[in-house]
Amino acid sequence: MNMSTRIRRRHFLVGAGGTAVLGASGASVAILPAIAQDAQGGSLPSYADWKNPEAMVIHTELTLETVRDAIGTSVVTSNDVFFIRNNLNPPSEEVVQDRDAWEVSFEGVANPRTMTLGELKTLGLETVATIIQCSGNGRGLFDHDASGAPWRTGAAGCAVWSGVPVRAVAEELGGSVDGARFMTSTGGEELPEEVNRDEIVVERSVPLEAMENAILAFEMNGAPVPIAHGGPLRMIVPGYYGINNVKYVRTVAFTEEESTADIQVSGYRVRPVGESGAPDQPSMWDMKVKSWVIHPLMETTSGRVLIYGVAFGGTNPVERVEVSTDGGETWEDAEFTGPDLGRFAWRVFVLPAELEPGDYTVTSRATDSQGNVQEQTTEPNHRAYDYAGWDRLAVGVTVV
Amino acid sequence: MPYLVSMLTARVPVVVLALFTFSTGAAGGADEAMLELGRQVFLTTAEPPCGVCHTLANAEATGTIAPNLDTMRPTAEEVRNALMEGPGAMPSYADTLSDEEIDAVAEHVAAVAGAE
Repeated sequence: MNMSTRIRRRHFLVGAGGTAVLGASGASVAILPAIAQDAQGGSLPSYADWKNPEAMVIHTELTLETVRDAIGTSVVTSNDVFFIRNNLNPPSEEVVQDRDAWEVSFEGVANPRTMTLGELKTLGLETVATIIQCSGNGRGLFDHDASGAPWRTGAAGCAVWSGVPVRAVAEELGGSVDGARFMTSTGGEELPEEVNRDEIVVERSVPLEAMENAILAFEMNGAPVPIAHGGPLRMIVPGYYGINNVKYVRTVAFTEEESTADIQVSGYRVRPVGESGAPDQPSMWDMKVKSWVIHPLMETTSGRVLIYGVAFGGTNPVERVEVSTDGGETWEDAEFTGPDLGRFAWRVFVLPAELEPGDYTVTSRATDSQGNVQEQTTEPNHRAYDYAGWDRLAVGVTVV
Repeated sequence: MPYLVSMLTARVPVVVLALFTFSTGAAGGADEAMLELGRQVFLTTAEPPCGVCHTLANAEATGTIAPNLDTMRPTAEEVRNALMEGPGAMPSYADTLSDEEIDAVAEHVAAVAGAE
């Protein structure tokens, strides 16, 4: 095995969380078929061929995961390692030939109409740092065999988005109609005529109050939003799971009721294993408090070791992170490092430790400003959404 | 060493997957009639038909809105799960196709995806 292969294999296993660990709960993490995923994936799809292949686990053409330690320590996740999850195939390059010509229709306002991105850009400008995290991040850490990509930690990234505040657009158009309770965004993918629209359209409703922080983003980390990430225009709902941040947004409506699309009615609903999705179940809206270690992973040298990772509180600021090297038996406070980019961004934390040779189970536990503490374990849910338990987010580290 | 152990353990599923894929192909559990039923369901019986959204060369399906199955090359089990669940934007077929039809589509897709 040459060095290149070794590095790739190591990254792959780390990205896939392929090491069995034993948390304080006593639950060991099954070693999942990491290599089998690689066999399904292959090379980067053409719409994302500019990604760093060493940093990506390719589950399918539409599901590309960031290797666990590739998110780095600069708070912002660079575009070339940022994960991708598209529900439908992305549109062609034509949609970014003339970005300012992209049209969006606004409904459920006093004066509904269609505006180009060029027009929208005259209404306001706002920049927000927020995490985009796929609802299924951590699916691979559950034991039940839920359909979908078996993400570990890498279906999440933190980016700085610039765009037009949705509230400024609503104001320009006379305000949302009386009785509106939701903001509903629709993706611009061209759907086959033979299919009932509600069955496959990417359309998501979020509570109206989310509009206060939402922007129609045309820039991601200083670059025009790539097609792979929803360009030319993406609805960004800070603090909400990725699915609500609708790519190629074509319509924004203020509505009394939630969308009738399957992806809203029965999709992205949290329910017990074996139950069908239904509107009375919690929707995947705002994210929960979570953190994970990105260094060290697998093996390190004895002596002084910096343990670091990322932590966030969804829509609340993250206030505290503790680190354990013994699977949750004892904890020590870590310090935040780097700039605070606001309550929707994650924070990088670090804890210096003196580690003797041996085996360690390293994990972290975050607390947000409301006192919500990251859960020890995440109870199974049918679709295996958001594993946030610190038990299985732990890494087994050998110190030599 | 944990690293080596991980590597060795991780190799096992490759073999398992390879055997599994083989066993679910035309030479294994699925006979010609089943594969033909799968092709029919894929193209016409399923509502909406799979081929409207997916590309699958063997079935002359050229849908472009959903993942290209020739590139994806899913296992029969993955197709079965997807049909039952309707992950992401895909509709569930659990209530509209019989177990036999779902099995047939799964075996058909696994057998022919990427073969041409």
